[in-house]
Amino acid sequence: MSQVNKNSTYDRTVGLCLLVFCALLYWNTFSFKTRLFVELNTTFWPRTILAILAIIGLILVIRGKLTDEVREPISWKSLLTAGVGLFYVVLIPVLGFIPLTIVFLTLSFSVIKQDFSRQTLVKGVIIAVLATVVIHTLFGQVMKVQLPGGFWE
Amino acid sequence: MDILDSILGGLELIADPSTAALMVFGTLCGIVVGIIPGLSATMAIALLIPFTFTMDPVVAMALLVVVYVGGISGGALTAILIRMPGTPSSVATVLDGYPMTQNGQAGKAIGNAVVASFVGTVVSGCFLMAFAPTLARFAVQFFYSEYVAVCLFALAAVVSVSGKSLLRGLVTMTLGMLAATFGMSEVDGLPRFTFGISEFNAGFSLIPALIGFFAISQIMKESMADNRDRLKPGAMVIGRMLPSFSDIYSNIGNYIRSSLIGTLIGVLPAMGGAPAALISYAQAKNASKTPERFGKGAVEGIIASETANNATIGGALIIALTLGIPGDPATAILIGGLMIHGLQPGPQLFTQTPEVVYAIYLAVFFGSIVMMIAMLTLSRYLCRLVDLPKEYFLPILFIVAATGVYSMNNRMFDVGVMVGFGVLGYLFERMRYPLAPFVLGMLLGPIIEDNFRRLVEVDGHAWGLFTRPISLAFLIAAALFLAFSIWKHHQDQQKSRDSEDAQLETNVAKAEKTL
Repeated sequence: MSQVNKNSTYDRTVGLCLLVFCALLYWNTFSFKTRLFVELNTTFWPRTILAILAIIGLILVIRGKLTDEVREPISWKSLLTAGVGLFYVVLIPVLGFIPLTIVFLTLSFSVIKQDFSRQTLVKGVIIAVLATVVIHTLFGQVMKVQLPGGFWE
Repeated sequence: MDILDSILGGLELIADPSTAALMVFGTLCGIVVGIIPGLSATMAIALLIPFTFTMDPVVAMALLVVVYVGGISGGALTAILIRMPGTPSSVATVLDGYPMTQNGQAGKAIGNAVVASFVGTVVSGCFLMAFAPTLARFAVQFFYSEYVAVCLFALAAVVSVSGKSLLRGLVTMTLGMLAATFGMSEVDGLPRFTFGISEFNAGFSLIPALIGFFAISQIMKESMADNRDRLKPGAMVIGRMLPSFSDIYSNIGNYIRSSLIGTLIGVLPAMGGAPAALISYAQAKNASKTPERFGKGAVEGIIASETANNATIGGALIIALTLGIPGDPATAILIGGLMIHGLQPGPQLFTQTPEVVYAIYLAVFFGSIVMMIAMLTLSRYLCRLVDLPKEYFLPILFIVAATGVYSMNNRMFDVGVMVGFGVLGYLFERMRYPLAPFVLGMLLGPIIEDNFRRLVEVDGHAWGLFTRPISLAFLIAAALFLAFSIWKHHQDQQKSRDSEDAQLETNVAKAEKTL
């Protein structure tokens, strides 16, 4: 029963979030630089979209539930995966591509497999090193991309 | 003569051994990704785009197209063997493919699916060659108002087919249009929604956003999916795969009908292979002399599904190349690939760089031939890819995606955008908010804004939208599309309410009887 109640309110929550989001962005449009003597200036299009989005948000808040479909649960572990990915993005300019990628891959292998045994870690390190070398060679050597070297470079 | 030169130019490039080898590799990559459940043709194209930066645009586009062909076709294998469509477009193949495997006819099912995929791709490729240049010549007449109207029509079409709720489609479409307004305005070169952060000046680049939306969100979903109950194809006996002459001969009508359905549905923005396959399957069942065999292992069902889903390729490419409107998410990424190489889809693509267009045509045919040979000879081995340990390939795919996105502009900000859009895509999917309208909104929003503002700038008003015949026709078509879908939505809701009432009455009657 609680699942059904949850599902009946999430469209309303989306609607509320949209209203707040639209209000904040609409307020931000007042800071846009504009040109003089033009028929439609820079703010025209974003404000039009925000107005449409706000109307949809309002309808969502009023109606509450759009369909009887059962929503798939949001996995916090999946969001954590993205969080770790973001952490990788932030750290890579500091630690460099090669060391951070090896660490990231090794840990990801164990986390997804949910196995932190020594055997899995050793196997993970070997695959991580091989994968990192292949990717670095492909992008760095073949495609001549300057990958982040980290603070020691 | 010009056309012949362009065809020969395209053929010469594809006949080059290194390009041909690259295209064979691309087709195989597409098939492999198509086979692995959870990975899609869209994801394969998205991940491959960064590798094409340094290539000649003709070779790059040919490569992406063969990956698309391979990706759509590969999904049939797992649909037949383990009841799990490798890509969403093979969803209808499961209905008869898996029962045939249970009856010991896996080889026959795979063989017919592969030939059907080939026929669907080739027939739609012929439609692409026949109609794309005509449509491009027609599109030369387009002015600001026509572009606005065509884009509005595409958006109306995509919202109309966005699942059970129009409003959810509208939400994601509008958010896509909003995301495209971040950064410099193309019309007047002034910044918008930059929040004082210099990285925002360039806005959200299309490719990182699309890779995030379709690849990262999928990695997030798959990384925590429980696949312990998944069937294993390892020990299955596949048997003879080449389809019999009688199977092909008795299904000629089915092939033609399914190819037409697939091509037509492919033309509609953001419909994609799955609805084409389901509609074609239903039509084949209606037309069959033995409809009772459908769902129990009918070859006609597999042929209908696989021909139609592959035929969407040509249909989707028709409007993608001539008008710049993607027929499905995979073609949206292909359009992104074109733009990265400085090519703008639309009529000018046919006049300025015809060799790219002809290379794409030839790639469709080349990819389908390689796909057929590879799948008929290697399916026994390819199906073992299902057993690949996801705990190893998912993180590696993330690194490949991140490094690829970084290599575009050497900017970590783009990688952050990719992860951000990945999370957004994941949340949308979980909450049943469709992804395709977002992508279309992001692609078409700037076109609508640019053309509308220029129209008003030139004319001083926007009446041109209603006074020019082509523009008016598209606006009326858009209105009809929306009106029809709203009407259908109400009908469905009414039916659902009626069945709920009937169920309630039965329950009450049962309860009274028990008392």
